[in-house]
Amino acid sequence: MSEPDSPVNRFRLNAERLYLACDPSLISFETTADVSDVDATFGQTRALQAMDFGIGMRGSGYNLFVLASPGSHRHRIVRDFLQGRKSKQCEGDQPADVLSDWVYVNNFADSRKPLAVALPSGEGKDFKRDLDQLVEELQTAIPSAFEGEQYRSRILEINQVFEEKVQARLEEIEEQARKEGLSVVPTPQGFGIAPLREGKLITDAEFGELPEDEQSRTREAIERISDKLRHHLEEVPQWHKQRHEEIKQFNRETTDLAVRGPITRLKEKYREHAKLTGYFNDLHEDVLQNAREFMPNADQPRETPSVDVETPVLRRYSVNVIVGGDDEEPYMPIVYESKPSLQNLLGRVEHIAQFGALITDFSMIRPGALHRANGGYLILDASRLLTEPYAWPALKRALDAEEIRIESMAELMSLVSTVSLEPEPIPLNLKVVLIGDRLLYQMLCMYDPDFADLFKVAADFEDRIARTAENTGLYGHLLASLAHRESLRPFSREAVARMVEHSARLMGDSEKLSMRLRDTTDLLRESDYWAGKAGADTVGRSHVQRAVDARVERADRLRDEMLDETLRRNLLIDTAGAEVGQINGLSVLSLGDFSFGRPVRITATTRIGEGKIVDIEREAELGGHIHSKAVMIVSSYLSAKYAIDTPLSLRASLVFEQSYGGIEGDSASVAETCALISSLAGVPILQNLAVTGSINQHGQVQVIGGVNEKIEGFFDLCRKRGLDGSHGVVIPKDNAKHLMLREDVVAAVRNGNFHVYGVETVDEALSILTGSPAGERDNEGNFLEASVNRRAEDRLVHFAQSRERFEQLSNSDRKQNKPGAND
Amino acid sequence: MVGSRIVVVLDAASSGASLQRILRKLTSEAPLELRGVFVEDARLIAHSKSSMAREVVFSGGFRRLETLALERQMRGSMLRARRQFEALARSIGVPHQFLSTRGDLVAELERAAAQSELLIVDMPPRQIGSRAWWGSTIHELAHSQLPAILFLRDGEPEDHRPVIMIVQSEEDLPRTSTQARRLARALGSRVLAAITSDNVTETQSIFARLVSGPSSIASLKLFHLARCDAESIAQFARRQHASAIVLPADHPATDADLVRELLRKTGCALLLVNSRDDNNRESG
Repeated sequence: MSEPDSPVNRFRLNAERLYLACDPSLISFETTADVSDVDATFGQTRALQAMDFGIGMRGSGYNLFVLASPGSHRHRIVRDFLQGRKSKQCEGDQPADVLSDWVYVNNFADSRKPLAVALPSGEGKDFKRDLDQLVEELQTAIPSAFEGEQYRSRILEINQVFEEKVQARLEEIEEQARKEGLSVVPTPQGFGIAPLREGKLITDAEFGELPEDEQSRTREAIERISDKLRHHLEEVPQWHKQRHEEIKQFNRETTDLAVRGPITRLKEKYREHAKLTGYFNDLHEDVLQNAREFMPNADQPRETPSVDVETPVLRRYSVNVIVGGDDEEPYMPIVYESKPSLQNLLGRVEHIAQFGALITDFSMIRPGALHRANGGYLILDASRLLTEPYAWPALKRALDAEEIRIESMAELMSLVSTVSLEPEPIPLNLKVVLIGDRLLYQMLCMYDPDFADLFKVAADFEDRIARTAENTGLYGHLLASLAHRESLRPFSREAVARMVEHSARLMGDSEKLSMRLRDTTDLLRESDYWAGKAGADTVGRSHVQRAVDARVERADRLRDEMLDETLRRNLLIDTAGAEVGQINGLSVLSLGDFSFGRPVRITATTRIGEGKIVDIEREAELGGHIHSKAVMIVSSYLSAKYAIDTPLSLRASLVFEQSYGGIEGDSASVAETCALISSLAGVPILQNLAVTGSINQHGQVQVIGGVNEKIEGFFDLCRKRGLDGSHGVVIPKDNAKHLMLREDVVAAVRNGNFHVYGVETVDEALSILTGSPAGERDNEGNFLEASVNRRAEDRLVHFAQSRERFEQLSNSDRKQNKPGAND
Repeated sequence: MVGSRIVVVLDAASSGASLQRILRKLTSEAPLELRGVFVEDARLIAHSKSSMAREVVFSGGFRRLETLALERQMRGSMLRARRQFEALARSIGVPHQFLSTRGDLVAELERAAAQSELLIVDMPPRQIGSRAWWGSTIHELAHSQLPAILFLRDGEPEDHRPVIMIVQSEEDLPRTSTQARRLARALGSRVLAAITSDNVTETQSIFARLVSGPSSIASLKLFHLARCDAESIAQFARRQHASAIVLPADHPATDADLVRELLRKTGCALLLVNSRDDNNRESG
């Protein structure tokens, strides 16, 4: 226990420095119910300016990457920002360009390549309705045209002309045959010709009795009539073809008469769209060629023709509205795609199975997020995007080409070779806002050459803000907004103040406030819960504290277990007495969101050697790179501090006792240095103290992380064994601003039962840990007699001298043993 | 057509679709028995007896018209007609019998159709023979002993399209109204009566009888035609979108030319009703 006037007292940090409480007066309201919401973007000036720039910047490649940590409500902030920008733009004098509707229609020239047509916003569905109505109209008009008396009469007339022609020719042949004494009759396979005599069929015998010339005439007549019949049979198919052509042409004219009016009306309505004029011309021709498809089914009554635009053939005349204008949101869509797969981004072409085959047409094109966001903004989560196969390259292609071209993953992977659709690409004009963490951003910058070209603007959101008076007040308003959003009970001013303090604790810095709003929102909700359990209408400070404590209780099973192991001496940690070459270091264990500190015994041994400090952790491959670097720094420090004119003849070893899970970081290098010096000097280190801190080669103590958890970890152990006023923790002085210790720790310090020391150099740490002065060099360069440093240096000199003697002896021995040496 | 026998003259070149449809309708009215007839025209066989006889086939080639070959062709046609008939009868589910005979076409049909209520001629889509050949056949059939002859065209008669009944005199009324009524009932359509008489008194009487009395027809519509020629009747039928025309067969105005021209100009089915059938008593 250090005396009240002990020189080490100057290093003590008083209780007020261990916890920076929030002055409730900085909170301008009684309860959160008294204030309106504020923008969650305060303190994000840099990021907001970047976003403003990126949004306003024209030209390709000025998409945005928002760098923000998870839990910072980054998605919401981005959406709110864009929404605010959109509202401002819509209210201004020059609103953003009104979006276009996009539709796909059938390409009558090549159905595999549907045509994309842009229409003014809101007209897409009108166009679809017009086409559907056109088809319905044609389904009535065309059958009516073909059922009309005029049509039937004309068809009858055409058929009659044909039949008249056939009959007339046949009768002509029959008449001629009769005149020539022949009979012509139809047979199953043609016509039969037989000779007559006085109107009756003549037998062979009777024919044989005829004069030769008459027989000849009969034979010649049969030949002539046969030729005529054959010629007739040859020309009938030609007439038939002509009749068919005539009917076809008449059908075409009939159809045209029925459809010309409705199609022309539509063509006139959409005359300003040159592409649609061509489309209607093609549609007109297609209808003329496929008029029969508009006829009703045979088994349906003619009075009710089949009005089913969705039949496969008639679907060719329908319209697929890909992007339909929302009359309430004609400008700048803001789309967030939570699952940015290839299909969800670019859209897809669906197929249906029919008779064992997969079929599709333009009506099965489905839009993706790029379509929906076209003309506005698309917000994507970067890590999700990069984990979706083919999505990132596809997005880059779309941004680079400034068009949306639907691609099938199956085709990209060459899994299928079936013919599918190639929809006409749609021009792309939007801003993509990628949201991701900093590591992802750095990796993209380093490894993706396209990234810098396409995402030129980085908006870096702060994870923390300075805990100034002004910011504290704004933070209180922010908490109020979050509470409103979650529909929670009103929070009192004191509760808000406690939330502010906890925010600083989360940051591990009393001068900072956390902008990781997810954690803050969770604590608000949990505090509200505890207030509800207590039957309170308002959430008070105690409810917030209860929520904080409950979190710890839920998570600290392992901490309790390790503490118990230490108390039971399964893990050896001394909190009393003094030992040479042994010191209490401090480490932090993190389990998810919960971190806790625990003491760890660090031991050092020293002996004569070749100037090497053995890091046993590294030798056992349990030490990380940073830890190894720290040990090297310790070695360099020792080399530069002691016996600099003497070769370092030391072999030392360092180990974290009973540690088997690996060591990383340099926060134990002060402890390691002190342990080594203790071993060298033979000066024991007080075990009622623990130490944390990193050193540089000059022996300056540097800040470390997790200082609150480390102090609390040692405190908990000492309290369990019984505080006697001697216990404490040595920390880097520069870590004092990070302190937001638990209330019980602060109380113990205030009562003198526990101490926290802030040091700036290794010597200061040594003086506290050994209870002896570390010692400084006098004008002659010697350390103060009996100081720790003096003893350490003397020991090193002794090692050097011993080593020199040993080497001399060794050389002498070798000479004596060498052949011919004694001759 | 009540518990009756219907004789069907089949032509293998016809699809039989119209025949099937009308027979189904008639079956739903009353049970019937079906008889199919195929007549090997004796005239053709007679032609083939001459060694000079020649056949010009549809492919344009010539060959001698040999009896055996002709009989083989006819047999082939008969077998096809038989198959078609039996399939038709099975699909309707009626008792049936198929007859194949050789002789004079009309005489054989008369013989086969004795004791039957109706003869249906399923006409091929295209007439192979000349008008003279067809016309004489139809004329003879029309003036035969058969009570009623229905000439069916491909696609006709269609359901729900009107049946036109031509009334030339009051004597025609009982027979034609009965047949027209029954045909219309089978088709689910109405009857349009076209009176062609020039006699005003007769016209009024016909009108009265059609409206009430045994010859009356429900859902009847009356018209007067100025002339009873093929063109006038055909025009009227086209205007009304008629599917069938019922004609008194033995009226002087109903000659071969009228029948032939009606078949040619209208595309309707044609039902000729014979006055000499004692079974066609007036009934409701």
